[in-house]
Amino acid sequence: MSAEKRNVKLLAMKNMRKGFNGVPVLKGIDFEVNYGEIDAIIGSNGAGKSTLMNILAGIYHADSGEIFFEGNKVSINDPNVAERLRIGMVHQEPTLCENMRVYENIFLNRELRTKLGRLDRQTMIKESNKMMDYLGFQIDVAEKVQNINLVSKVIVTIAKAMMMNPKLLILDEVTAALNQKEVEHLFQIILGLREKGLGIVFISHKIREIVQICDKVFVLRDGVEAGTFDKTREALKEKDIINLMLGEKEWKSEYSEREMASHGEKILLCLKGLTRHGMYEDISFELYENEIIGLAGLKGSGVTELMYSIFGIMKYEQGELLMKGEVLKAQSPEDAIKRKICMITNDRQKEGLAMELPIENNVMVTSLDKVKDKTGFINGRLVKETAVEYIEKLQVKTTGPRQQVQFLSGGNQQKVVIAKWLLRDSSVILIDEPTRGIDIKAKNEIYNLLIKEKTKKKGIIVYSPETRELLNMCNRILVIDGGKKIAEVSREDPNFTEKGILEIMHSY
Amino acid sequence: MSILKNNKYKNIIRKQMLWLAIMLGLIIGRILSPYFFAGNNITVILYTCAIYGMLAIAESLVLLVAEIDLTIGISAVVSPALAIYLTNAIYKVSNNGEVVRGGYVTAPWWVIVAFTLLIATLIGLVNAILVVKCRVPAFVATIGVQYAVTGIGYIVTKGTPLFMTKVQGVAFIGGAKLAGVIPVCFILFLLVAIMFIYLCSSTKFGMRVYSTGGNTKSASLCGINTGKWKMFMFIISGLLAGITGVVFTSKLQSIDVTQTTGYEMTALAIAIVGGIELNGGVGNLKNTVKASMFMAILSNVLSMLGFLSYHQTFVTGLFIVLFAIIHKKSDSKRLKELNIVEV
Repeated sequence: MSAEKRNVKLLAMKNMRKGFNGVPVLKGIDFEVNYGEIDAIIGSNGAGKSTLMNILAGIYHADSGEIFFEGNKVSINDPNVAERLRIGMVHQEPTLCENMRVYENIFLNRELRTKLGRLDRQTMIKESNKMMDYLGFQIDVAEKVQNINLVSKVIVTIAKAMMMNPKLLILDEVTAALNQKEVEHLFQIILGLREKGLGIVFISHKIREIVQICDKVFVLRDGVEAGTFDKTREALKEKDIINLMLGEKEWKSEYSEREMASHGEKILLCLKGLTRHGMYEDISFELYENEIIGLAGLKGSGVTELMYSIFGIMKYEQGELLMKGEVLKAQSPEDAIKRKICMITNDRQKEGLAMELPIENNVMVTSLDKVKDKTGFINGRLVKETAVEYIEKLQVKTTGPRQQVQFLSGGNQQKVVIAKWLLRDSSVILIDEPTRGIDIKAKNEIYNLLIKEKTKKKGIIVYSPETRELLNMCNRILVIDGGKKIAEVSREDPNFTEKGILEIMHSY
Repeated sequence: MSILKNNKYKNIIRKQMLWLAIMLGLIIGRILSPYFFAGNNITVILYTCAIYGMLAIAESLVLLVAEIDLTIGISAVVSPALAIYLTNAIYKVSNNGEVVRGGYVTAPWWVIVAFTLLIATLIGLVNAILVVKCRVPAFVATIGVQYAVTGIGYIVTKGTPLFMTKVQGVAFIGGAKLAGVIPVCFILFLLVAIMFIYLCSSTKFGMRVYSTGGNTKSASLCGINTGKWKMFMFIISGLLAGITGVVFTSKLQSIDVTQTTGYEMTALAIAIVGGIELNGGVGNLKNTVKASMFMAILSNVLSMLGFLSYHQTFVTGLFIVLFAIIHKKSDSKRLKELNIVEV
């Protein structure tokens, strides 16, 4: 498309505000996209990127603010309106109907029909094939979505957005599942679309990609604009972007001040080339006594699956897993627990707690043999005493051990989950996202708790999407990307900083 | 068992499982009784197939959008009863006298049919509103409505049967036969079935239904009003229950609230045997039709064998579980590919 249309505004969002349950997520955002321009939005988890884009796609409704599209004020209160305006969005997670065929998904809600109102399957298949050729991927469009792999699903979602011939295309984390070659290929397509004059919004955690193809970078932090970089004025630098994204001043000194005793001599857990194809590959490391190992990586990097395998929920295919020198091929969590391994999963409400039961029952559920009396029945007094002991130990804010877990705050709920596994007294504790969705004070309490716990000859493995959190508690951090261990950073390493880790993570 | 090991045959057997079951049923029926293929018996089978099949299609449509409707059985008998009392009340007000006397109904058939369909559709609408607008889980909502509707049925009929023998033309839809063998209601069932099979496989209707049931979130992200489609299915289901009610009443020429107890469960069972999944979006109405045929033959053969209805219930149960297992088997492969962790 013509050069004259460049620098002409395609989209302008003004003073966008949006909150969920009274918590503001977007606090007055102004955002603009020109014709023939690729704009990146970047920010850490929960900064409001996806919320902003979902407003544009008509999925959320802004509390206040104005949207101008092609110069007209519009109100996008429905995905159909976004479609009429020709705003196409590819969502973070593929949003496809698994039970339907690929081409049916591509044409969902804009089916082609014959004059008699019958679905014109032949033409839809033909058009879908054309689109796949254009995108350069070979996918059988007549196959059901449940039978194709994740990469293909991402491509199908892109094809679906492209099929509406959009003027503005929003790509939310589309590259996460793709490998380097596929990403390069996709970029060629995106650059081609830019030449045609489309406005493109590109959301990604991979800053290297953003620097590579974007014209402007819009940095969001905690729901406000932290700044904008423009390629036409200055070269984009990864470091500048990371700095701005994190708001350096606020976080700098927190973790470096913490004293951390080094680990013991005895090896607790030893992984040798552990592999489950398509999830994680060739992971090797040792976990010592009195050590906390942090696993850093983006969502979907295979860390959760790795933990599942150690805990016996999911089998590993190759490699060896040794627990105190003994080969461990846990068949079930029960097996793992017997060998003194426990895991705290990342979804406490669904997987960690019985929300409608009182604290004492939740704490006790892993260690019923500890509250049995001589008759073999559960001793109510013992249950209460133990619960009270742990409530005090972990400083759970509650009205008492009989309070239902659902009425506790997120942080206190998390403490109950941790208490239940501490009571079991395992030697290896796996924790998937220990502080998801809890506030800073509770976070700190949990860090201290885990650091204290590890000194009891225990080993802890933590995964967190927040690098800062790992820096706070870990002796070592292993960086995992695409299921592979790409780096190991110990506390003495100069790279043991948020910036260092992020650079390693984003440079792969 | 070398045939079963061969994948090609295995696939054919799996795909044509219901046809095979139907054929097998017919052959066994023929062997066991020389009267199996006699005109009257075939009519009985087709009549059973029509009644259950119509309800099974209603249930399947609701299941396809990932909901469930437990009111269809009772709705099929209470709707006509209520329709008759409504007609009676209207006649009373307009001073034309009463149309229900001593348990005998004398109203014109078309008035009753019209009111029956209207009332059944309204019951569907109530379900739809409860489930979609008030967000009550479908199982709870429709079981509640089922009880309420049953209660209304007892209230209006006072627990006594109504006789329709004096209604002119009452026997046509349920009793008339084509060529002396095929009941008219079976033709009606086939027409309804063909219409919905066509709608589901070849029109936007099917795309909406399958996407709503398959992944409600994805469908609504595409701009599909999934709530509307769920409501729509409940209403269609209600209407089909009404049509079944008309056929049923016409056949028996009487109404008793207890007549269709448990029919919604039979319909559910047929849908499951036909491979419709309770989670929505998976299954095919063609197979629902085949499954209704199979169940009709099964119950007929069992009666021929001299099974008491208790034993019949038991054997039917076994078949439901058997088919559910076969459907699940082809399913678990899919779960493995998705890497779903089964703890």
